[in-house]
Amino acid sequence: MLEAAMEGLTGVLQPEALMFMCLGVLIGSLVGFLPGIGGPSTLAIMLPFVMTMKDPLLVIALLVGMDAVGNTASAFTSILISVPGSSGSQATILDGHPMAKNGEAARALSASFVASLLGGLFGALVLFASLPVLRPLVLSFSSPEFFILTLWGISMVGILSGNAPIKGILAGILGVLIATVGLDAKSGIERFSFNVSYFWEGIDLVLVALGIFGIPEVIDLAGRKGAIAKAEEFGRGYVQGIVDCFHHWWLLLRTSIIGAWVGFLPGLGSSVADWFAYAHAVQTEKNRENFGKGDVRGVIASEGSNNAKEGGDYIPTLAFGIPGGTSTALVLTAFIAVGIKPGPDMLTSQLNLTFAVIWTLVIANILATAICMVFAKPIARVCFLPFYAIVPPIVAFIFIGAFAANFHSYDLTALMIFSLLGFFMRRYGWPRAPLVLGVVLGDKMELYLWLSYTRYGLEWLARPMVIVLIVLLLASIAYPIITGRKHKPSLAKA
Amino acid sequence: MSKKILTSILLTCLTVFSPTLTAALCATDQPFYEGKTIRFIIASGPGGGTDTAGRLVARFLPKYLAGNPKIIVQNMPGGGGTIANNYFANEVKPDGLTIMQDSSSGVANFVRGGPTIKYDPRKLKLIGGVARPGSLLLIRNDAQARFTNRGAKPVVVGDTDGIRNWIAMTVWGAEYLGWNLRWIYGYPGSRELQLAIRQGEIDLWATQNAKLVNDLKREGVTQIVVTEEDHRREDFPDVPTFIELLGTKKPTGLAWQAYLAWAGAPELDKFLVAPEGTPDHLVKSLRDAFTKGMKDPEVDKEGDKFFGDGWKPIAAEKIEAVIRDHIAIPKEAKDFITKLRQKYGLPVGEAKS
Repeated sequence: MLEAAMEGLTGVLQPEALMFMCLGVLIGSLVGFLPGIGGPSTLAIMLPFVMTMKDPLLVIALLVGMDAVGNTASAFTSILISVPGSSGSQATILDGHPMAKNGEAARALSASFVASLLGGLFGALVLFASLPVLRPLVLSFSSPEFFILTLWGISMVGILSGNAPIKGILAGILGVLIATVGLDAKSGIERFSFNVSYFWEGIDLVLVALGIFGIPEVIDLAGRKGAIAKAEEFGRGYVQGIVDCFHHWWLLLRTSIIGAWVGFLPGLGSSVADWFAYAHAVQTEKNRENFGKGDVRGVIASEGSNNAKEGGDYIPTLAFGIPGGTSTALVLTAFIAVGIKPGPDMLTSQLNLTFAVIWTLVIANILATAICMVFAKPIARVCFLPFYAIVPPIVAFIFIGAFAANFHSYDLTALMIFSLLGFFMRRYGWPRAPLVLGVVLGDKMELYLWLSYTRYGLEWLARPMVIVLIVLLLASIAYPIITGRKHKPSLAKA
Repeated sequence: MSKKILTSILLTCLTVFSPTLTAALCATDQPFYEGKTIRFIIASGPGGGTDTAGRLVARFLPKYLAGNPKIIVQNMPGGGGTIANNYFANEVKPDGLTIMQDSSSGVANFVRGGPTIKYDPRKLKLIGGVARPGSLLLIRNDAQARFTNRGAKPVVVGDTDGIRNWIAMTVWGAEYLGWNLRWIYGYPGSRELQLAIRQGEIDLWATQNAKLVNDLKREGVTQIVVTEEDHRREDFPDVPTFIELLGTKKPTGLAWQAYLAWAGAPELDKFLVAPEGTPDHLVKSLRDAFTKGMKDPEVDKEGDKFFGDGWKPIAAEKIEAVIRDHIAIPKEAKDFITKLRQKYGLPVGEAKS
């Protein structure tokens, strides 16, 4: 294992890999503090270009680097202008923005950066610590268990979609239906192809992701006109924020554990992690009367958890090939395209790549925090960029990305159709994350159901692990409904 | 025109046209592939033999192709190569910029036929291929007691599509040696099958990958039953051949002719193709580059690492001939195969002529 760990480290420290990681961190940070352009949108835009790369290490450095730090820089807008830069920093607003109003923006920012760093490092540690148990865990699962896991993933994202669980479930089902278009992978039989050969290969996930996330966000950004937002004063207490994190280390550790656990569970995303962690802080901390009025502990809880979540998120992604959320679903698509094979191989022949992911999580978090800490003031000014300087290049990149994959004019038509769908879904409060996850997991779900039935008949339903997972699945669905979704985790904007 | 609109137009134009302008400025009298990108389709998911062979070729082909083009590898799994072959035959332009790593499954599926087959392997332009030593049939240690006991729960054979060459061995084994088997298919590729045998979801599977075979044996998961070659593999001298195992029970006449037709010639394994209509000079360039690439010592070393000793490159002309022979099997032999497939619950198509 030590050898693989060293190989992974030297791999990501190669000048080229390091360069790609820096690029990923920069893009991830930039995306983080540009509200409206979320992590999934950017990953979707990057996907067609990344899939042409050959070296898996470079892809890991770029995408994992980018994915790991999106929640670090997103604290800028959450704290300064009360607009979450990413879906994972929504709870940061509750105390971060009041702190900024109280003239303590600097303290809130530095606390959020250090909490993000320590949370991110904790997530990487969790991923590392899980390695010895992952292999037996993966081998104890078969197609029936994998089927329930895919079902769980889509259901959870659907159920936890803002205030619209029914809409969430329907969006997930639509995603699964989209995944069935094309030639059936088992037999080659045509499905929903209407005798048009374009559909044989199925609907490209890149087009779905670009249309559903990319264009609607850009339209929203353009619709605001003017600058992204007006910033609050930078304020005081920069060093105090760093001290706060170490002073509240026990809270930071607990909320990091929550983040990593939420990441590990299929279907839950960073937008849930920060709310769970914030709720935990409010429920368990003493002197809670200041929460919501500018308590630094609210910022620490939220920011520590959303970065710790990333490490946990990669556990099911690497071990089972089942992504925990939209971002890892897109990262997984790129991984497979460049020959990285999730599953037991990640713990044996490709263990060095698993370590490359872990090291990237570590180094990217350090880099992102360093960038945010050192350049906090100039970065804050980016919030003033006018929309007309940002929107046109992004639109161009989206269309080039959609066309470059196959050079097929139908791809552009498909992009526009999915953009329209994404636009209306966003406008009418239909969550989009379940749809994309449905497309990603749809064919896996069908495959595992087919294998479960042909291998075990109906006996697969009586397998002990299947029963346990079904109970967990039902409990996960029932819990938020019964409790009236007390904490209101929202994926609607994801 | 306002400053805002001007800025927007300028940034958009820069984004869209900068690569084109750079390319146009640099254009000179150059080899066909210079500055171009080849799309390299692999007719399987990542991780299996077809993928490994494809990625090996994709790494070395540009080095020997004048102009040193870039290569984008794209896996297109499904239907034992049917999806990729259908797409390749009907959608891809024959401009030398899209090639495909195919396998014997693509040919076998064509022979099996059916409404899903929309390609003809005889029309493909062969570039070259690699053939690995014959498959080794593996059985899980905990399933051995049930292997020849028809009163016990059947041993489960796993495959992608129930048509791979080595499946013939299991069907003939069930028919003539009394093997107690049941077949399930639909796995996307070798990677998933490897996981399934480790998990115990399937009990019987075959692979040509010597390293994997040794790993599974060392881990105490499987034992080797037999090799499909007509002579023992040099790297597994103690493993009997299927013919040895059949012994006096080896069928003759039509039954054996049908077996040989399904099992296929050893040269038909993994091969690289260009679409029908690709200009001859481009096919020649690709073939030359492939042949030179296969002589590269690094390819030899990498091939040994992934396929084990005994793999060899096969010339395009040889594979073309083998494909033609494979497809031209007598109708009686095809009918015999169909009957056995029906008997053992394997998918049946309509034979192509």
